[in-house]
Amino acid sequence: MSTTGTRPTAGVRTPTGTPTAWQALVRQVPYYTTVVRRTWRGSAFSYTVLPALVLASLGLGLGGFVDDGTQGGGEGTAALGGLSYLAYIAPGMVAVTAVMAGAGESTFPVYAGFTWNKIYFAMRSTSLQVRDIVNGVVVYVAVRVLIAVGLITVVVALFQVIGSVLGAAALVGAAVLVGAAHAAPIIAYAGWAHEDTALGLVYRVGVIPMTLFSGAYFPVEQLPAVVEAVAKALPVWHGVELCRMATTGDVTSAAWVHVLYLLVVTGVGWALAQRQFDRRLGRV
Amino acid sequence: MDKTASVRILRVGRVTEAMLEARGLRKAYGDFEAVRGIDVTVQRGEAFGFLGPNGAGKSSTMRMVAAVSPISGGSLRILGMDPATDGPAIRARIGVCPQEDSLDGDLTVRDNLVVYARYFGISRRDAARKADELLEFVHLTEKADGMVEDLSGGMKRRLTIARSLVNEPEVLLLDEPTTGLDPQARHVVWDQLHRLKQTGVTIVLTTHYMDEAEQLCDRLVVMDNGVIAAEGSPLSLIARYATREVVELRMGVGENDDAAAQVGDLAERVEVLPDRVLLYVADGEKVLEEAVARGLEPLSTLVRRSSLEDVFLRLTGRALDE
Repeated sequence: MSTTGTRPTAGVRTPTGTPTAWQALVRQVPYYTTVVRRTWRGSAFSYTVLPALVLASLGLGLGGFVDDGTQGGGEGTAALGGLSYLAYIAPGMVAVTAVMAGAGESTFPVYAGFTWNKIYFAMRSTSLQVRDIVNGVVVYVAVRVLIAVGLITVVVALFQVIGSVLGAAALVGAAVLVGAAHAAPIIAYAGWAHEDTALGLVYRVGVIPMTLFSGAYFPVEQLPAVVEAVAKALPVWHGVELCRMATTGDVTSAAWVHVLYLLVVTGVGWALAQRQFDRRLGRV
Repeated sequence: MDKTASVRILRVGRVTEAMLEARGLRKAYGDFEAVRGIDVTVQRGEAFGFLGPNGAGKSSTMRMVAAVSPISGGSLRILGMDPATDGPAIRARIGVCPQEDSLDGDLTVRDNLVVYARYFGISRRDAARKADELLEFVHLTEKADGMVEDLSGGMKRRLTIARSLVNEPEVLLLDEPTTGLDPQARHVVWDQLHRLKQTGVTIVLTTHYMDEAEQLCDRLVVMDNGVIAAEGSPLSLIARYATREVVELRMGVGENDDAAAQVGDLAERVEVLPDRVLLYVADGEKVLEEAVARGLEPLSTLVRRSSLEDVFLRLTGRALDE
């Protein structure tokens, strides 16, 4: 075997200093775009065709009964604040989808990074720091949520239930926020989990029950007082409310409470994720 | 370009410069002390090995040297820098080939290299060029667009080595580089590490294979229970801790101790292992003849040169694979 020609030659410029948080994020872009390029087809379907089907079946189909509900002596659309059922659940569905998308990218992919493909350990042996890796994960998941929410917002707009362009933009922003508020703590949890069965619990015990009783599909005021209080304490409800304000344009000062609440949950989750990643990558 | 680069590296190689310097280095996990105060200095251009059985503290040492695991005591300088404060700057200039492959099975072979290079802040053009060059180096060019999960164990290992070189490191850390590989794949890896060594890269590796240490290391330390039991070149260690030759006698069940008593005076040193008796001698054939002349009837015999295996046995009283 000859040693010339095939031996690694000099000439690659490797920055030697400590990268700033921003530089470190930019350095991870090629990896995450490769991942997106590989998986976008499946998500494109999930966030266009599926929500259209949900809006058609629940919004128009089931909504047909709801909107005529006064005939049976019920409140009908009055309990929905005068909205048609379609207009009522559309923002709820956007918020729920954002939560689902955030959870989907925060459970198995994060778990895999520590166990199956160990990519975080690989990243860790480069000039990236643990902080940078956590930032990369959170920002990547937020971008995935943004893509999902962007697609679904187009679908919702086609059903003519968004009041204005500004409303559509606000809807995207609100949905990304509620998605991030769920993703960040789930990233911490997936970083803590040592068995993949623990990840299923996120959906069974967490995301699915929470989203069902979050005010996305019916007003939480219909729930028993205690359950209603619990529902209103959970971040999903705040996200749903915020999304609904965006589509209807009926914005109250409560919006600030929702935004603040979701930001705090995101921040706490981020910090917990940092701690968990530190444990597994930084103190070995 | 190629030539001037290697000349430059060789020139620098003549200057004695510590790439790695550990003094009283310790690593504790809770109450358990994995590394219990070791002193190690590795000079530029050296191939240095940590030899020892599983659990000797080699991997813990490597993780500290790789600037990913904080030290628990003593001092450690890598490339003259402190890993506690200069971790990213150190890692930018070293290459790490971990014991367990951490390749991304969902990416292509080439993308694994390119993506990893970008973590170092290497430009897209340089990363692509370097990836192709390294694939050539580890003979994986034909697999460049294939998926990692389709590679054999030996190929994955070579790809991991290639990945550890994307930033053109000054020090390459290899944790058990050929563990789990078949003999042919091991020789391919050894060949590549030899070639790297020729280019002036400082190599620090751990191994529990004696032949690997003898093949690759200019100098090594024998580690056992978190401390260094001996240090030197493979040959000097053998000269110091073993004789030139070894006679191995395989006796019938339960006859080992009797055999050792019967012919022990012929050897400088005798080791009784569960499955054989080792006689450390200068001239193996002569001693074997004498032993047989005394009426010893071994099931099988072997006369061989002493190896690091014998050094380890002498130092720790245990065989490496026990």
